[in-house]
Amino acid sequence: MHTQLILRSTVEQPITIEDYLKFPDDKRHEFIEGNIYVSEYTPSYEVPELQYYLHKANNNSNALLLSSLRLYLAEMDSIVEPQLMLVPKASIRLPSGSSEQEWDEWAWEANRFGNFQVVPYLVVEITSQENYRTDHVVKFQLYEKAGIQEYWIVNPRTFSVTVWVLVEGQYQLHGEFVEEEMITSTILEGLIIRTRDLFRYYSRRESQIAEQ
Amino acid sequence: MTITITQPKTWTYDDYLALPENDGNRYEIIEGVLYTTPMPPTGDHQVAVYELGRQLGNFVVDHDLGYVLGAPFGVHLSEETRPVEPDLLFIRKERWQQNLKFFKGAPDLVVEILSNSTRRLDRNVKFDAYEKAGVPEYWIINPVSLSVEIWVLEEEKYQFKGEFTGTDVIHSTVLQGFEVVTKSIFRR
Repeated sequence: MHTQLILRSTVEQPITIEDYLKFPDDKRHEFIEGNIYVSEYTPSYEVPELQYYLHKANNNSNALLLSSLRLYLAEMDSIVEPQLMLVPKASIRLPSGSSEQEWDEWAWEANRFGNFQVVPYLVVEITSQENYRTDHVVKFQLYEKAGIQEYWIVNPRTFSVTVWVLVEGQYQLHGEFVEEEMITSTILEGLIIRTRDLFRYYSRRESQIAEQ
Repeated sequence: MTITITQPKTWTYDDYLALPENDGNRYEIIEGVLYTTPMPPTGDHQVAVYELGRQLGNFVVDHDLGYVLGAPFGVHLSEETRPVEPDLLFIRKERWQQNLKFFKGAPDLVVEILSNSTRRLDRNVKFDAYEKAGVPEYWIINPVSLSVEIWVLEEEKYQFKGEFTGTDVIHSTVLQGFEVVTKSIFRR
């Protein structure tokens, strides 16, 4: 099992956002309340699956789905890189009719300066053995305090999805979904995903292995 | 079914003693906050309690290590956090006394089985309380995703030892030599 590297601030040697931004971007670095969490970029098969469903449900709305972009939670003095997030469109100021290149430049700047500041409607993390504590304890508390309305934890090991919804400032369990159960959201009202469809990659792979 | 969290009054053990008995609720006070969990839990919850309790109990009795208990049994972690009632706990025999009404101190191992109503409590509030009190090993069992998480205290912080599913064999740090096949806990 990989263990996540955590660089902790001390009284003598506090880590600042400026220090954090100097880190190379070959790994996923996140700055949460004075500590830096370093983990590997690993391919996730659930991200494109989720993108498909979320995009479809988000049709014609004022929200934008973003992946692997640095997010600055100013009130929490933290910068995270959620695997997926749904943010208010108004929070991104691009010239109207902007080209793909302008969009790339914008994303590049946002990543370089870590200054993309918004409170997303929804954040998705694909958890792993490596990031387990960060996703379930550290980020749970961070996203709750930051006021992010919905937090999804996707677990490819147990093929389950846990959805937390903010009610009066506290996350309450909206549901833990497995197998044939339909995942729903309080934000994207038309959204319905059969849980096992998110993990199709694994069932395909298993059947391929079984055939061999 | 939801947990009721009663604030802002700071609850004391005397307040706890004044609460109704056998009214179908589990009452716990953690850092002066009262948590009320409606009972009874589901069948899947109880299967996991009994099955893991049985396997842990057999090992502990066979090796004469101490006592495995199930809720309801009160644990007093501190002045502000008492009682809590873990689903399962293990206490070494050196620390056990006959005729205890409750146990004072940190159990050597605590197990909580998640339910929809206790999820937040087990994952956050109790997690912090057990960590702070110095419970050396904490198991969180999820009867929905059929998985078990193991957390072990190292330098006063819980370190994640893994999430186990299916035929994964779980080992305990506190109970050296104990092993259990994950799915057997759920009778699958």
